[in-house]
Amino acid sequence: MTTLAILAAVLASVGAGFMLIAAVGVTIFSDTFARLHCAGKSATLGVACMLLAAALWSGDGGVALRCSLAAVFFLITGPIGCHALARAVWRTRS
Amino acid sequence: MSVIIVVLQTVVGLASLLALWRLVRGPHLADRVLALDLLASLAVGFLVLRAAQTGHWMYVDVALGIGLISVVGTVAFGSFIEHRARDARAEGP
Repeated sequence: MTTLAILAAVLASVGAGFMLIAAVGVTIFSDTFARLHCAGKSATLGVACMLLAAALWSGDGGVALRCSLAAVFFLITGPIGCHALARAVWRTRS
Repeated sequence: MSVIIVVLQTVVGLASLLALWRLVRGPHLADRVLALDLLASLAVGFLVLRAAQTGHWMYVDVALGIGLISVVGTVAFGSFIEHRARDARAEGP
């Protein structure tokens, strides 16, 4: 196993761990805002970590570039979606 | 390496089950939309792992498509929740 593969495995494990944390938080938190807070950050970071791991894993320039761009895309758009939802919940609260 | 991928796929599958439970339960519509968004993220992670497992890297393109659609859907649902409440308030009781 090369150093690159080990690094990719560690990154993928961190990503999967963050995704599991997000899912557990979404399941057990009691408030809608708490759930948004939990899923908005850890799920985004988990996806980005996993795509970077795939970029390291592939060993192909084109695939690595696509995976890195997808990671940047998720890092930008994940918080945007959660912000839209949180704003809607805050403005329609009773 | 393949053992690590299978273990990570199991973790992602477990997280999907938890998100599915919130999708079924969720008292507010935003909870369900949030669970759908999380499920799409988990699907992206699973597809990336699958791409690394099989060596078919076009799975990454599929994952990117799922991510694009899920973001647009989440923002649209947020706007819908906001406008629905505003319309209900304008019409009055």
